[in-house]
Amino acid sequence: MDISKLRETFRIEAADLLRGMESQLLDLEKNPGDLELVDRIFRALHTIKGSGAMFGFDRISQFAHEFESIFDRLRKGQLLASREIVDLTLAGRDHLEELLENETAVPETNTQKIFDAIRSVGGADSTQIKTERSSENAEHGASSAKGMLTHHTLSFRPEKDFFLKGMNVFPLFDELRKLGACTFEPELQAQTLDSFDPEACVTSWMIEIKTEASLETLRDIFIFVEGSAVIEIQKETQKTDKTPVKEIPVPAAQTASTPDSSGKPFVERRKSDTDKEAIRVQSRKIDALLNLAGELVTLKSSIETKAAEKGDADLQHFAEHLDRLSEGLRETAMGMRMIPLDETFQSFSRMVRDLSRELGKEAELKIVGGETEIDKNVIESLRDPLMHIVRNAVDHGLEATAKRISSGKTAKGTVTLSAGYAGAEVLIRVSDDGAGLSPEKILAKAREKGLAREGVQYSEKEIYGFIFLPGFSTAEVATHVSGRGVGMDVVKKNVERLRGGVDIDSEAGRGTTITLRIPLTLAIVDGLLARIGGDHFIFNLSNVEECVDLTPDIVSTSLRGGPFQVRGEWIPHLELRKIFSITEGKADDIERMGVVRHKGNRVGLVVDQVLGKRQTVIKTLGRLYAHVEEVSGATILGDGTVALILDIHNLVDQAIERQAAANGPGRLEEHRPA
Amino acid sequence: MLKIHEKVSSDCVTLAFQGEATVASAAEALHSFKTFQPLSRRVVLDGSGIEECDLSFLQILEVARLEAASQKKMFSFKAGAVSPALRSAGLRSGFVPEKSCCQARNCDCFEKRFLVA
Repeated sequence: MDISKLRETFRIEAADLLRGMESQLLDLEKNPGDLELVDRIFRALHTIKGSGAMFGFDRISQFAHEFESIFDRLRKGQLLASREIVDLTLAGRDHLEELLENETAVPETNTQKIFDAIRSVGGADSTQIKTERSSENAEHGASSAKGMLTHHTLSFRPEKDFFLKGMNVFPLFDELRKLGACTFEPELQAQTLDSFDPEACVTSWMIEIKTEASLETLRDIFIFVEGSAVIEIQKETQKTDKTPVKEIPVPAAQTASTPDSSGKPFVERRKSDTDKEAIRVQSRKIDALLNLAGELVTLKSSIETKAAEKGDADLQHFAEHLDRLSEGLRETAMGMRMIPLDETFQSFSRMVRDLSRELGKEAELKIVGGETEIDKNVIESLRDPLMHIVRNAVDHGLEATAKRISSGKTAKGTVTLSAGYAGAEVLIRVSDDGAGLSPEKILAKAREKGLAREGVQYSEKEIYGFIFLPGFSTAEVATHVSGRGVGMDVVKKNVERLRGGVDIDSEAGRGTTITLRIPLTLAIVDGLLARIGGDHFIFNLSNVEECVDLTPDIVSTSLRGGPFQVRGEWIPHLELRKIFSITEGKADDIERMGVVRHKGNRVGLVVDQVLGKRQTVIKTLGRLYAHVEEVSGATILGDGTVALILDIHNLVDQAIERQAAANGPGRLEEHRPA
Repeated sequence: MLKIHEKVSSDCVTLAFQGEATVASAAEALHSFKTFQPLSRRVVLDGSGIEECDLSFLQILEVARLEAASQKKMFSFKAGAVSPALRSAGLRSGFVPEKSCCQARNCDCFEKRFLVA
């Protein structure tokens, strides 16, 4: 058994719990009387405490122990989840996160500072809290009567893989003993040495305990093993009253508030079934599966090609069948990589809360369409761009409270994060109900910074485009939050790297919406296959606006490699044959030009032949080709040929740079916005 | 790490355990019982060197004891050969019922619990 793997699993699971805790705490701030929320947070902390202790995370376990005392008091109604309490508990949560990242790197003084704050909560000093904890059994929950010993019978049956999950019964039993006199009756499932699995837990226990502690307190002891064991608790006020009772499976969420005031024998059975519905799989394994599914698509194409060449009907039939299977397999593998955006969206709630407070504004984050799913790799790359946009929305988009009120708006501004599908893309919108953008101010600033030309008329869309240029900011005061002009250009670059795009819409006095268009997945691209000599290239179809045959009348419009005139429009172009130094074969009599949109302008990419649309499984080129910015990957065609997938934006940018370096600003450069 | 020393004589098999008797070494512990217990009618255990012990080892001990009992073998710990870690594991797991004597140094509840005479 590899303990380091178990420790890593603990880290991952604790991080999940802490992420959930953050949104629960924010919800608690809005609903301070929600005891179910308090209970959920308490349970999460209890799990972190117990599991942390098992895997040697002593500081985490100790901290969680202190920390849960607040929620214990909230549960008992001794505290109310005021804003100060939520602040403190959020700070405690953050501290746990830091400890989880690297326990040894966090100074003890930081921990002590939060301990002190926790202990001073609600005027209670450390002694009070310690006293409460030590007599927890007497005070815990309304169902336990002070001074009255209650007899409980517990049946505890760990699952066979209990040890393999790194769990240990000893600390649980130690905790039970603290609550009162216990007797344990272990029972081993019949085994012989020959049939015995040394790593399986085959013992179950009947435990009798006489205690003042409530059922809830007993239950809490088993919180962090409830997914790995069956626990039944039978409570009787007097041992002599013991009557046989029927076992009632009770879901965990319901049992938290199950009353037992009737005095009837009470049986509770706890076993988390939710763990069985989902398993945690390393993402690299899913990536490998998707990769294999991609290989199958390639193989299928090869068989199809061969079948067509040979005119073999049977082979064609098999190829069609394989096509359906491989499609299904690929869809399934793709589905595994899709995760809802909700968690990412929720993580901004805290940021909006803290930021608005820091800026002296009132703001809330609304989330719409959090269930929209997107490739996990895309989500990871989206986090930073979204953070910039949301920050900007709060900092620059929303007006100060006084200004909002004087404009007849609500004091509290709203930033809405929404997501939804649009074909093969997901649209993610960040909207604020603030003052909106001022095109005049943006243009003036762009001119001041030399980003826009004097005397040129720009459309509103073009003016908003300046926001995405490096170094642009109209904020009068640069705060540490935003306003240094660093961010939106990075946002755009990152989104474009994901083969997506960014649009801005704004209405004066009504607010601004920034829309990110993101492909559902990075693993497959709808491409346009083109050939130059014997080489094949794929353009991302979403970048291609049209294909043009370069007939002699169009070619004759170009002077010295300058733009072609197509239907009255001048289109600058790049000859890919030259760019990739392809000498093999000769260009066809009539070449073709794929027209793509680059930074608002149309640019032509000249190739020998356009072979048509292809759904393409992207393969990375490896580190050796990492520096080739014009190419974002490769794919294998049905006949085994490799086609390079072009990164259109980098391709055009590189060409402009090369041209500028060789001749000064050239024709392509002239078509840039400024 | 768990070190296991086996000694086989004409009338007795002695198994001495040293180190960490945990789930990580449970397979080795089981193997030694499976290999050596059948060789004699008397099994003597020495747990004085056990520094750490978890439930997995106690389970093996219990299975070995039950099997010895079913085969009418003698199964016992050498006098004074139960380390504090092993004794504590017996008590904490509930395999050894805790009595008032269990805090005393000369308590032999553990030895009695796993004895097949």
